[in-house]
Amino acid sequence: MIAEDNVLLREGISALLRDDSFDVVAAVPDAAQLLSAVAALMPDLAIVDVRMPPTHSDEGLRAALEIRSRWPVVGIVVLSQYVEERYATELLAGDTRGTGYLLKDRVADVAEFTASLRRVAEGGTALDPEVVRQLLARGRPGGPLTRLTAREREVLSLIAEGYSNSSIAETLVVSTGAVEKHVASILAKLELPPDDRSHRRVLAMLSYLRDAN
Amino acid sequence: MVSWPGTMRRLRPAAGVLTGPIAARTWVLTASLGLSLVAGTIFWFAVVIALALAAALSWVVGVGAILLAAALRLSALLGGADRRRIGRWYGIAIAPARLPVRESGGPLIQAQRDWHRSAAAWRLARYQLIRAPACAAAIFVLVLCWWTVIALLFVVPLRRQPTAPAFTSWVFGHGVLGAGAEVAAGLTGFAVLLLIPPLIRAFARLDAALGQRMLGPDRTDILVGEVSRLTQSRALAIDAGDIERHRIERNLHDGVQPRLVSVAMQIDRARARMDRDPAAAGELLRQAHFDAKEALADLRSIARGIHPAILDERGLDAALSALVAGAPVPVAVSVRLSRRPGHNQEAVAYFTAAEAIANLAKHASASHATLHISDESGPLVVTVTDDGRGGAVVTPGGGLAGLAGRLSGVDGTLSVESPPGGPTTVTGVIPCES
Repeated sequence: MIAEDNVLLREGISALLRDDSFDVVAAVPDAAQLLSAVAALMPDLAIVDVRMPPTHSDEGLRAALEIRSRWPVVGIVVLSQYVEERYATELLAGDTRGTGYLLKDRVADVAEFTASLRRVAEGGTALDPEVVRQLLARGRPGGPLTRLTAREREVLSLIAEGYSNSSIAETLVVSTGAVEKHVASILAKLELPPDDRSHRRVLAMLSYLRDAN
Repeated sequence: MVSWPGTMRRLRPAAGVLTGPIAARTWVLTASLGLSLVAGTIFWFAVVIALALAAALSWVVGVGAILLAAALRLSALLGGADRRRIGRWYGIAIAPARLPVRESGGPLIQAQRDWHRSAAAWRLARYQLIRAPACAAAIFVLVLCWWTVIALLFVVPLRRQPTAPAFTSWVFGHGVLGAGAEVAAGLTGFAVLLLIPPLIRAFARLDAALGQRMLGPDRTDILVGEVSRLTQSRALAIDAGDIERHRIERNLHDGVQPRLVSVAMQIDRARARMDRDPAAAGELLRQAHFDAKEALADLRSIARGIHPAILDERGLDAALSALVAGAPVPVAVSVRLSRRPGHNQEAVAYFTAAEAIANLAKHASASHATLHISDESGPLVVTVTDDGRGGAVVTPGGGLAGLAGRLSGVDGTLSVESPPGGPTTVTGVIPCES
C-alpha cells in the first residue's frame, strides 16, 4: 500500500514494486484515505509520505504512528523529503519492529529500496544511512564512539540502518564470524549488553546514539 | 533644526517686495503673532501662578508636590494648544513630546514623581515662560516700526498744514521740517514700510521655530521612534524573506525533487530490464528523458522566481515584458524611467509587479490589466490596475502582506485599493537609494 500525494511518485513507486513482484493493493493520495485503506485491506506494508494534504506538514507521520499503535502487524516505511531527526526519533521511539524511515531519494536505487521494504515487511528495521550518519557525526569528541575503529563504525552504521549480521557480512565482503567479532567489540566498547535478536540490537544502538548527543 | 518644506506658503520668502505691505499673508501672520502674544500672556500667567503656588506651599508636605505636578501638567496641556496653533497657522506639524504616562493601577505618588523628573514637562513649562516675553518684544518692535511709518509718511506732511490736527503733535512733536528733510523722511518711512513684511515673516518663523524646538519630542525621543520604526520594518522584511524562502523550499521539494527521483527510478528500472525487455526499457528511458526536461523547466521557473537573470542583464522594461508575456490576461506595460534604478529598487519593483500580476491572475477574474512604472515624481512607483471583481485585501501571511514586508524593507510602501466590483489598483512606492 502506498500513500503519496505526488502522482508521479505514486505511480512510479507502484510500477517499480509491481516490477519486483510486490502486490500493490492500494495507492492513495492522503492520510485519511490511507487509514481507511489500511483498516479495510490490512496490508503487510504501508509506504507513507511524511508531507501530504491538507496541511503539507507531517500528517503522513501522524498516520504512520496511528497505524503502528492500532495495527502493529502492518509494517511501515515513512518517506521523507529531507532528514528530520525529530521524525526519526518519534517513529523509532519504543518498538522499531516493522518500521522504516527513508529519504525519498532512496526510491531511485530500486534494488536497495525494495530490499529495505522487504526487511521491514518481515519485521525488521530500515533507517536511512543519512540519518545514521548524522547521529554518528554528532557523537561527543572523546566519547566512547571515538574509540571505535573505522570498520567498527561501518558495522555500527549498518546495524543502525537495520541490517542483519549476514547482510552486513555480504555488504562488507567479510565472513559472518568477523562481523560477529566486530559486533561484540562494539557492544563492549559502548558498554551495551550483548543481544542476538537484531531488532533489540538496533534499538539499543539507536537509543545509545540518541543519548550520546 | 528648522526645515521648511512642509510649511505653508505664507512663511516662505515673498515674491514681490513692493506688494508686501498689502499682501494678505502679511496680515495673517500679524494676526498669528497677535494671537501668540494674547494666548501666550494668559498661559504665562497661568504657569507662573501655578509654579509660584507650588513653591509657596512647598513646605506643606505633599501639597507642594501635588501642585508642582499639576503645574507641569498644565504646561503640557497648554503646550498642546500651542502645537495645534502652530500647525494651523504655520502649517508645521509638531509631534507631541513624550510625557510621563501613568501605568494603570500604578501608585499616584510614582506618577507625580515621573512628572517632576520629566525633562519634557519642564521644557514645556519653560516654553510658556519664554514665549510671552519674546512675543511681546516682537510685537513691540512691530508697533515701533508702524509708528515710524505713520509718523514719517503721514504726520510729517500733515504738520505742514497751518491747521495741523492736534494728534499730530503727540505723534511727532512740534517741529516742521524743511523740504529736503521732508523728502528724506518720506523715503525712510517708505523703506521701513517695505521692511515690515519680511520682519513679520521672520518673527513668525521664530515663533514657529521656538515651538518646534521646545514643544516637540526631543532628539532622543525622535531617535527612539525612528529605531522602533526601523526595527519593525526590518522584522517585516525578514518575515517577507522567510515566506519567500519557504515558498522556494516548497517549490523545490514538491516540484523538482519528485521529478528527479522519478527520473532516477525510471533509469534504474530501465537498466534492470535492458537485457530481458529492451522495448520496455526504451519506454522507461523515454519517460525519464521527458521528466528530466520537465525538472529543468521547473528549476528555470524557480530560479526566475528567486531572481530573474534578464532583470540584471537588460533592465526592468525587458524583465517586465517577459513577465507579462507569461501572464494569463493581457497586461499593457508602460515604463517611464529617467534613469536606470538601483539594483535593489529594480528587484523590488519587479517583484511588486510580479506578485500583483500573480494575484490578479489568481483571484481577480480580470480580462485586462495595466502595469505602469515611473520615477517622474522621484521615487520609483509601480502601479498595477485590473478590471476584475475587486475586493482584494491584505491578509497576514498572504502574498500581498509578503509584498508589503518586502517594500517596507527598502522603506517603501504598498497600497491596495480594491472596492468590491473593482477595479483593483496595487501601488508600490520605492524610495530612491541614497
